[in-house]
Amino acid sequence: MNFICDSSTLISLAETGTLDALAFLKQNAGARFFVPPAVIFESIQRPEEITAFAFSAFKIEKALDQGTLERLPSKRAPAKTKDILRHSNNVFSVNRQPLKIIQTGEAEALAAYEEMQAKAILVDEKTTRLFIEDPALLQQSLEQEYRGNVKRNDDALNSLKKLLNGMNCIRSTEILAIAFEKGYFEGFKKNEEKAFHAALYAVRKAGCSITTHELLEYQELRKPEAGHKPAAPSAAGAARFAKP
Amino acid sequence: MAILQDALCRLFKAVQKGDAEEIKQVSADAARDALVHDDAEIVEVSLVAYSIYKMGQKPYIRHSKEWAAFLQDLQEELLECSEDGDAPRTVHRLMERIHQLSQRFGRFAQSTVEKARLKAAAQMYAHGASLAKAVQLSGAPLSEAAAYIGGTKIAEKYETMSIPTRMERTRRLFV
Repeated sequence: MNFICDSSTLISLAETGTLDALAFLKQNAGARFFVPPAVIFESIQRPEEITAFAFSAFKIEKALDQGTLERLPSKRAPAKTKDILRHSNNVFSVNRQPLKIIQTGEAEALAAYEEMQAKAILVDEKTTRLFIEDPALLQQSLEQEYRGNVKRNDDALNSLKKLLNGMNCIRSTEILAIAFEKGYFEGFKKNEEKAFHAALYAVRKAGCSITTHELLEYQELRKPEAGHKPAAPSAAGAARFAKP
Repeated sequence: MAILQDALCRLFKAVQKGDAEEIKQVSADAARDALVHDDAEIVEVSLVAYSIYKMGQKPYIRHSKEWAAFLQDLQEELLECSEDGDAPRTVHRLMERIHQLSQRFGRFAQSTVEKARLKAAAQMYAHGASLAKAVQLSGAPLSEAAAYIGGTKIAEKYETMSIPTRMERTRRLFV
């Protein structure tokens, strides 16, 4: 059960003292978390040079040393990384300038996905997630920000969609929610649920892209009792996101 | 290059007029343009403009001799730039002057430059950049930029599925 980590999720978990949720899921669910070289540079090597912001970097490095996180042995699929960068950075343009909105770390994480037969990419920042889950929403937001002055390159978008086809994204909030269901917060005893919900707010403050509405929906999440399956999503909830 | 020159000219006019709101807007627009043109020199205009805006709000800085000298230098630099057109050199010199001022005025001014980087990163993130891209262009530390962005409302627009649906999908991944 392989997962690829982006620096945004590692930072959210490290900043909030919940990076060990990954160790918990490794132990209790057999999950393995892989980190591409550019993500190691972004989340460890570069921040370690700035003392004031280095503590999270040292925590992530410790997780690597302890085997909670695993280095991808070398640059995986460099051709695919280049393709993802080329296409994602040519999908949208403003005043005829292609918007270069994705960086090497994110592209490497996406490129490693197929080769590592990953189940999901862990990503807290919104741009990479939107390319996978809803490029139309990304375009809509760009049109608002640039007052309609955005052009879409359908060839680049279709090529990117092929490269990203079938990928799943999970954020630090979903990592904490799964860990909660499996008992990660049990040590808080009577405060178990409250601690879980507080941790969700903490990762948002640390940069996880989650809406207030989503946080309120998480308030409804209860730890399933042994042998009980959690309730399936309601049709009304799914209909809110139905595309016309 | 023309974008950098235009941004500097706009800053020059705003400083001449003493228009603080326009100086702040130059900073925001320069961060956006830096992303559009993938140009770190335009980011420096954003940092300079924001630093001028923030430092100019503090009476003990605004009424100092150093600030008056800085504004004089700034106007000369910007005027020279509009004549000889070496915008990259001008923006580098202005950044150096901002750093010198920071050292003179201590912690507040130093944190102003760092805050300017965070503002620029958030502006680029709001305009479509990924977190790593915004950090690379702005020079802001990753964890600080993430936390700064986490304190804004930028995330509110990006909900793609309900939490029950998302959790059902996530549970399937961990089986």
